[in-house]
Amino acid sequence: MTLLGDAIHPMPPTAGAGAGTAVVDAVHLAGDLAALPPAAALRRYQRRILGYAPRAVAAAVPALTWQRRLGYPVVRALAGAVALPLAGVVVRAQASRLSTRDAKTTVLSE
Amino acid sequence: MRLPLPPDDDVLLIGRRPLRAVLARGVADAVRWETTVCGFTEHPDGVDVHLAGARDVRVDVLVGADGVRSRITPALTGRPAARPAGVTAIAARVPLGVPGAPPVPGDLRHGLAFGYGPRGVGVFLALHRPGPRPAPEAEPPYLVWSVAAAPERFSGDPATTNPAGLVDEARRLLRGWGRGSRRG
Ligand SMILES: Cc1cc2nc3c(=O)[nH]c(=O)nc-3n(C[C@H](O)[C@H](O)[C@H](O)COP(=O)(O)OP(=O)(O)OC[C@H]3O[C@@H](n4cnc5c(N)ncnc54)[C@H](O)[C@@H]3O)c2cc1C
Ligand SMILES: Cc1cc2nc3c(=O)[nH]c(=O)nc-3n(C[C@H](O)[C@H](O)[C@H](O)COP(=O)(O)OP(=O)(O)OC[C@H]3O[C@@H](n4cnc5c(N)ncnc54)[C@H](O)[C@@H]3O)c2cc1C
Repeated sequence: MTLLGDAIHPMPPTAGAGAGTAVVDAVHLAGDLAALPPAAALRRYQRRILGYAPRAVAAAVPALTWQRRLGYPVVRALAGAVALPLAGVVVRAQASRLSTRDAKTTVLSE
Repeated sequence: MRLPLPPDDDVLLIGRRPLRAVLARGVADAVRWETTVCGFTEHPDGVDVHLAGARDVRVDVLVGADGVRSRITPALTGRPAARPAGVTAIAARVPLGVPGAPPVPGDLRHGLAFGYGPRGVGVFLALHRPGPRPAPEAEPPYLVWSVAAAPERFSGDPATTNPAGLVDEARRLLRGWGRGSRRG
């Protein structure tokens, strides 16, 4: 299992790069799955995301921060609080799941 | 304000609908529309995907690409995919090239525009014009406008306001703004 697009690196619209980054994810994932067995492909794909997604999110944050700053007399939210990419978290969660051999059912909550 | 773009590159825009249509080229038969994923069971050699009102599907790999409100992300990481960014926006598209269409600022032909005003109110403008050889998916020309501000600047909940009410809200947020633009 893995994640792609906004589900793993939510993008503020301010850089106009969210859809493009999601498409880049899909291209990398398709390439890795075509070249490697699934488990190895997912590991490589997730390591790749860590290489570009945090930068893409960071590029979108300043415009949003500026807008909020102009709106408040005190800067109460810093850029890092917006939507830090989950990529690193997923790589770790994935590593622990891959070692689980038993079938496990997850029901998605609303 | 300039977007972080390479200085010598052309800016190419594509609307969401044409983008989706282009991405679906060649795989339309494989897409199941109107089908909600409601859970999954992981096995050592694959994943059973549980669908609302349809039979399970066995896949080698399940990719959660379900957006900022992803339900897969919390199931996988224990954290929501995104948090509110502290900015709420109203966006609309206005058809161009039809009677009654508004005049378009010339600068928009060179790219997108962000504007910031008092009280943290921001404006976004983008012009969509099909190129000289438009793809079949291309839409007729239109202008996207958006007005954004902190949620507490809105007089009501935009999510439950009708289109006419949203236009009034945008006008209220922009009260005092001039007609011209100045580059920053
Ligand atoms: C106002 C605004 C303006 C933006 N402007 C731009 C821009 O100019 N340029 C740009 O590049 N990006 C922009 N973005 C960001 C861009 O929209 C996202 O980054 C991009 O859509 C992410 O794509 P995605 O495929 O990850 O998720 P999404 O496009 O959100 O797609 C997720 C899909 O999953 C489906 N889904 C969800 N849950 C389930 C379920 N349980 N079962 C089945 N299906 C499900 C949804 O119906 C949806 O179709 C903007 C975003 C916003 C909010
Ligand atoms: C701050 C901000 C920045 C923005 N930046 C940009 C920008 O840089 N560039 C830009 O172009 N726009 C930008 N926008 C505007 C925004 O991204 C959309 O253009 C706007 O929401 C109009 O989209 P739409 O009417 O096509 O509806 P959409 O929001 O695209 O779609 C309406 C609904 O139809 C569904 N849908 C659409 N196509 C399909 C399909 N083929 N199959 C099934 N379901 C489908 C969608 O999932 C959605 O639920 C911005 C908006 C804001 C607020």
